[in-house]
Amino acid sequence: MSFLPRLCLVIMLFPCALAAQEAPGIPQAWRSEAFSEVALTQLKALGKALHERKAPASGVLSRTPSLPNLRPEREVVVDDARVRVAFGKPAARPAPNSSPWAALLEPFTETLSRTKFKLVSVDLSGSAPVTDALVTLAGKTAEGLLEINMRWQVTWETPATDADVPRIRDLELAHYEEILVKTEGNQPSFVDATAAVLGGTEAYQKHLRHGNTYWRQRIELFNRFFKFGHQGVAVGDVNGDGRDDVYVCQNGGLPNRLFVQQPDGTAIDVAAEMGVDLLDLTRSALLVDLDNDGDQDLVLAADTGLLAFRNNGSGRFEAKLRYRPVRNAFSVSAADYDNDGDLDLYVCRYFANKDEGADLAVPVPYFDANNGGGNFLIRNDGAATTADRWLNFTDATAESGLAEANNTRFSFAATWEDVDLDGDQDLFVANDFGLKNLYLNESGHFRDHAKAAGIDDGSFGMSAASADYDGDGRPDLYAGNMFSAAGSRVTTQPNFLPGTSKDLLERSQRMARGNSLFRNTGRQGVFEDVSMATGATMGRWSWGSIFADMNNDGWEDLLVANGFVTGRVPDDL
Amino acid sequence: MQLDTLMDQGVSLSGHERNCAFLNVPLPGSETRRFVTASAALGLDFDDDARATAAVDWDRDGDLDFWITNRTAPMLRLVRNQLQEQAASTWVAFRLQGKQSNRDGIGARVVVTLAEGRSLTKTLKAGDGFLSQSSKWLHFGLGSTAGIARIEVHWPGGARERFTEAPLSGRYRLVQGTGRAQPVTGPKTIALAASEAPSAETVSGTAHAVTPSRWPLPRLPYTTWDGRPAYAGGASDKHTLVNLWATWCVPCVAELKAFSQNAKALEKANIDVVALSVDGLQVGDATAASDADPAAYFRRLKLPFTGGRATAETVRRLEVLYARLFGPQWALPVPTSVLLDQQGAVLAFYKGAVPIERILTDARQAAGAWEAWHDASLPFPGQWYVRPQPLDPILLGLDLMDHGQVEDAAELAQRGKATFQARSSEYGKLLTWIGDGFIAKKRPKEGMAHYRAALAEDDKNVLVLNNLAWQLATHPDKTIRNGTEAVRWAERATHLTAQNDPGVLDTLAAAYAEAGAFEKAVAATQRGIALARQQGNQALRQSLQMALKKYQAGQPYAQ
Repeated sequence: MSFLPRLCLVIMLFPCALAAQEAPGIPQAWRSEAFSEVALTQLKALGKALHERKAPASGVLSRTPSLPNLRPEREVVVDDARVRVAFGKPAARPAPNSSPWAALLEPFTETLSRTKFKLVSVDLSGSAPVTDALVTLAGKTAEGLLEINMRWQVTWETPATDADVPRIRDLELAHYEEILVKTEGNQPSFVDATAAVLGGTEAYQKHLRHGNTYWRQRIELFNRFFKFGHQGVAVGDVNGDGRDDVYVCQNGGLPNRLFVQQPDGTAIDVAAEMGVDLLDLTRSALLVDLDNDGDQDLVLAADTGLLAFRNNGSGRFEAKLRYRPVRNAFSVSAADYDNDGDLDLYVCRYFANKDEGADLAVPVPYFDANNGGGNFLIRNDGAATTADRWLNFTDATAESGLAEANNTRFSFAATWEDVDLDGDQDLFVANDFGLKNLYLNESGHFRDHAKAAGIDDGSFGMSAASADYDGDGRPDLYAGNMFSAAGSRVTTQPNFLPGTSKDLLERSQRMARGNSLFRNTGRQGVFEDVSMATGATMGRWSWGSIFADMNNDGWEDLLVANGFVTGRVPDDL
Repeated sequence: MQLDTLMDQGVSLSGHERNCAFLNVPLPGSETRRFVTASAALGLDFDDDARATAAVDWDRDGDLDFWITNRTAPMLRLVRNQLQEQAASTWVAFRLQGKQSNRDGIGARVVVTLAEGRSLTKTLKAGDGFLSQSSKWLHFGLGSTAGIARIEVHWPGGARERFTEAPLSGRYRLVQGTGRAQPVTGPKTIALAASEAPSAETVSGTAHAVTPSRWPLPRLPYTTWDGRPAYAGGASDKHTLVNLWATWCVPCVAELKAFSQNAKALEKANIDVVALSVDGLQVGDATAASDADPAAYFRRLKLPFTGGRATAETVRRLEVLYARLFGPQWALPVPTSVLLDQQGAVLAFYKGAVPIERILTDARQAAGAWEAWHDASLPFPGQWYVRPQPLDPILLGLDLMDHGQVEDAAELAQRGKATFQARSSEYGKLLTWIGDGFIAKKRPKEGMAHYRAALAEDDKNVLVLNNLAWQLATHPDKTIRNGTEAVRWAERATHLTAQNDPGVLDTLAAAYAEAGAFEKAVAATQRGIALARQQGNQALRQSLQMALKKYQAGQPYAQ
């Protein structure tokens, strides 16, 4: 059974043991994976032909393929000075007397720079194989940069012999969208300006220009150097000059950097000068005014504890707090949860410490694991009465009720937001290997409302954000999740893990579905899952996923950072 | 963790994914909104393993730029929004200042109502997305509005406050209780120079690293030019630079020549070079099948060092060392060198050719105080809040035992004793395993010596007590047997197991019998038989019954 290990990899986080128990399901799932590989090769050949502005070679299409108009009639929904967005209308087919390929290529008057295919489902149960593929074409027109995103449902002509390849018999256009970003001089709207700002610093030239793998070969593991590169960033004005600066967290053994903006927009690294060039593994940072004195203090979620530094107002950060129980911290977010006028801190932790009884870092069960690190709510009780101390902080995790409310999931990220608009701060937490948390704040006491709120989808959360995306005045929630095309294909196989409950099966499918958008219904913290309906799922393997109005049109757009591990070996698992 | 290992071997998992950007657009035929993917069209589709995302109008031109961190190179990007330069639109940005509320105004919700009647709502956050904090300037894009009709702030705690209207496209401070948006005239828009986007890097396998862990390295077996087995590394009166080279490897030969030219400097620094050829071995990305005779080649170069042929085990041990110290489990390049101290502990690991100055510097720094050496081992200065300590090197010993290399494991355990004792809780277990290994090889004296050493680390280790007592009680060679000592260890093991382990009782009985105390031997055996029966251990019960007959007949086990 030499395919067994490969299958375990394809479905990624399903424990191999589980897959092995369900041996009868494997051949089917494996067959579909083999088919998807061949189908993808055919689609890539098609993409190559499009690049050369040719009709696909006969090896890709059947003798008499049934094809729609690949650039259908469109309904323009936005057309302003910056963008034009259009959706395809369902159309009668086939398109008479014209090549659908030429029609698809027609708008790319300058160049077609990229074609991309991602197979998200394979159905081998019918008389002919059917696949679902996400297709993207990107390039230039005289007006600007154009991107066409489609969903192609392809029915394949079954190969007559094993040596033969499947050919496209029938293609349905399940979705079509066309986005033109108007530009001048063919400059994209967004350009990399890293070197323009940091080019004069050693920190950039010698340190940050290299990646994790470069440094990993030079820094011993005992420095707490991790290969996943989960390093955060915090923006804030550390010197009160009205310009935002940026603190950059680094892996163990590499110094954190603090880039202070100069009048010309460039930045210099003053981390050492200000006393915060820590070498300790740091995952996230916050610049917030903890003592309400008008300057920005610094909080670090470091491997060795939660650290807080007081900004002394004259160019130094003074180390004031190391809260040791908060080890292996991932992210930290601040809000005044008890409405007493100062900022409290919530810290997400992923793995538990050994002294919390966790020798095994294996999430159990993998779809709803609650054996991760305990998260912390650290309450700010204001100025200490003794002169040698700064602020009083109290661990409020237990007394706030959080400790008893699914507190030990594998939490990556959290964000505070008054989701029920009752004047206090509620808390949304994204967890890996399990369900999300939505803690409603009831006079400083929290309970996990996720199930009632309808946000307990089984996708593995990586990031937490909120904003009013639909303009109704109520904050909606967005979570970056794990996505895997292979995972989507395998988990939707009819024979995937036979005997598994419907609930577990749905969870498994959700797990690989992509990002989640939950619309706030306004009914006492109840949300509607609009991820699919709004087209907001396909962020790939997402990390930071935030709302931001990128084109200043008054509507919240989304930026999704993604990609797990790009190794030295080019092929993905 | 199979996936973990595969990634350490360089495999990608959801790699080469391009960042995504979604634009919020109207959904045709409905009041609501949907998202379209515009990653490429906006120029945000960087092919990075990206992580954190923070929004800020860095150049203060009225649109949002992004700082993005990456796992891959570059680990930080500023992505600048050129929207305003290309087609100006209206916007407004607010910086809050709480009085009753927290000073930063974190948690405040700002509602901007436009002249056209639409309201825009945003909350000021400290931390969202993944490991990120965006600017505290709340940025509102306003499209092509005619103006702002109303600004309302819902301060944390529930207090609402209206602020007088602000003109479009400007920055304002909203101070709690003042009711008036104060224009901020501060820093002006800046024009950043155009710059080249940093590219992803192709990571080469070449890297020079100092290793303040100073792990004792298993000695490295090789074959001398005349075919005899020998070891590089281990204890020596000098430092050793073990170098892997090949006749077909041009940089290797250049490096060896450089070592040769600097032979005096190396000697002065008390460094011996042992240059081991990997001709014919699988090293790096390919097997280097070569007809060259490395011995002849080595002689022809007139190198003033020890030379020889590396074995597959030489390379394997270095690969294990590298993987345990740094993580990556890739094949080593040639040349590769390791610098060892007089105790055969690793001071530096050089993948790829290394300049002689580097070796001399690394050797010198290793002689200093550990903390200074640790600092110098890192690429940049900085401060430790809590300085980490080197990891437990025991895995190197366990790896040797996994591969049946008992003698070398014993040599390592002995030579690295101080380090193991200081850093490992498993040292006793390694010694026990080595003891077992020697016993299995029919070398009982060495086996028992290791058992005794293991007991010196942990005298409550029942397994060791039992095994040692068993050898002393039953070994066929009578010069090894010692009934009195056997009884001492066996009684201790019996005590620690509260007389409830039939296997230990078996040993205790054999020890009594060897010491001539047959009555005690019989009693212990009978108790063992009862327990074995209770536990359903048929094999042990039978063997105990055979022993019982011997002891009842006044015979020790060994006869």
